[in-house]
Amino acid sequence: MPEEYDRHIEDLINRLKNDSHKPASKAQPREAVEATLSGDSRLSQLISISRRMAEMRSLTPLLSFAIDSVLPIVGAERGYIVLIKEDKTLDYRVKRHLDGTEIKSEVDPISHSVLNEVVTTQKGIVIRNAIMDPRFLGSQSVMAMQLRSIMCVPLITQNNLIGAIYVENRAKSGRFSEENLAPLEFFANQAAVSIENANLNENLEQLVAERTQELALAKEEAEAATRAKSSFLSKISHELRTPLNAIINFTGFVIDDYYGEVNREQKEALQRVIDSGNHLLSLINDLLDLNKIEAGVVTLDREPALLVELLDQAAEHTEALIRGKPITVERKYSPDLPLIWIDRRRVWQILLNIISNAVKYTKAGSITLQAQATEHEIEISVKDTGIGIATEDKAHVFEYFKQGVNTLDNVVSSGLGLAIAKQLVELHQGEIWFQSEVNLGTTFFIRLPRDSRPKVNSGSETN
Amino acid sequence: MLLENRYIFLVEDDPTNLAVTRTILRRHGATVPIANWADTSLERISAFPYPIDLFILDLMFPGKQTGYDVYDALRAKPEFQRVPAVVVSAADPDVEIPRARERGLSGFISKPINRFRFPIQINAILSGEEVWDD
Repeated sequence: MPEEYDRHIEDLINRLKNDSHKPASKAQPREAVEATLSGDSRLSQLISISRRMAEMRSLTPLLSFAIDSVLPIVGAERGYIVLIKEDKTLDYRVKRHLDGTEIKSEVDPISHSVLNEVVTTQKGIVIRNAIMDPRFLGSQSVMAMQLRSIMCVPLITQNNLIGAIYVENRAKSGRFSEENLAPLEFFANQAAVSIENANLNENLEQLVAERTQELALAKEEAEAATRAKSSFLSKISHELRTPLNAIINFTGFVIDDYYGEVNREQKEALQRVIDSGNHLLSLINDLLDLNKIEAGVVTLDREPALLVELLDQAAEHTEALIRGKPITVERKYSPDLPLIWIDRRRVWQILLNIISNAVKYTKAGSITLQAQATEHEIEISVKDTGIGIATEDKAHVFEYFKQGVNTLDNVVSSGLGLAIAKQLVELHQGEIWFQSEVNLGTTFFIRLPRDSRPKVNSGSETN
Repeated sequence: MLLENRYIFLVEDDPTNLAVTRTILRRHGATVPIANWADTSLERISAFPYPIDLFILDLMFPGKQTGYDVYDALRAKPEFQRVPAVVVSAADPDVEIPRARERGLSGFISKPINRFRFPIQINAILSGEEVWDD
């Protein structure tokens, strides 16, 4: 009789297990299984508890609900759910009395011998009277706590032992029989699936929360790093420019005969000190600028500007840079170019960087400044008759610290000027590009919107 | 000379940079009394026997004081309320020019200064103009 009952239950358990994974069971619909069970109110109770458990997403409420539900059904006075942690130690997650209160923590709340037996064999166990049971004669915990009726079943899901349910009745022996074990095992199987699901769910939620936090932290760190780098470079820039003030100016005082007469050769040598100092200065300024643009702290200060004025200044500046080389500066732009909204200082910087390149890489010939306007844009070009850019360098013109293979002796360049120019043009929502042929020359083009101010709502131009 | 008979008070802690500025200004005829930002400097500036035409302030001083604190202290004295002041500093002009404008200074000139341009810039400020040079 008990054997037959066991087989019957095992069959049901298997069907229900399948059912919990695949809602539309191909074998027998749930209703049919339930009908078979309806005679046994305990089992139908267990099924409805299982369903509740399957819906629960958080582990702790699930475990409390499980133990509170199962204790009255199996007639135990205390129950424990023990989970096996990742490091294989045991976690006494739930310890409850029949009335739903917590069992105040005891040093050794349950029999380890019993638990070990279940964990090792992965089979449920029923003990009618532990202190008399020959299997636990040597168990200190059994004797010390005077344990009597105990049932313990493993929590197994997908062939993994994840813990055990342990129920007991210390006052009386013989409270549990083999008949009680099957429902508890059935319950344990359902509980194991739900526990595993809740675990996965909580892990997933925790993982999402952790990742979100990690990302937020990483973003914050990156921003802090950018700010720190920016402020560090700003300080460094101050520290580097301060001694340059003395180097450049005291050298100038000597050239200007402040301390007595200096001959021409000496002056030329000293001028090289000044030139190098100025080069170092522009390098420092470029680095600081580029860093600020990249950190996104450069904002354009747009104002209406006369492009002609800017181009005239640029032409004069070009003439000053030529310093005796046989180069003519051509101004091919109409004096009635329109007013444009730009950050004057930044556009000046763009022009200077392009012009200084044109002068550097041109030995003789001309540098031509051109400009024209369309309805919404202006296009400026700087054309030189210099050495040109080698084909293999064309892709890298706007990269940092790139100097082409095609170069002249004594050209000193930071390799940052065009990279900065490009960034500043793009800040103006403009475009920069070039055409170049080796030994014929290079033309740089800039196209800027005539008004790149951020659009505000129309109809508010009352003042 | 461009700065003849001008009294330009220089508040600067670094002796080398002080010498740079002072040399150029004197070369163009200015009288250049100096102070560093010690506790006594305000008394010292007040004790100067001639009317001061301009203050040139460095920004960075030892400790937490900045050129702006010097400026505020000077402005608090009735006799200096109308004297223009200019910052001459190696600090980042993108950061300092807006600050200096907001405080009411007459200009910002970047270090390294240009020995040809500097006297002209100073003269412009003495003539009531503002100079914002990065």
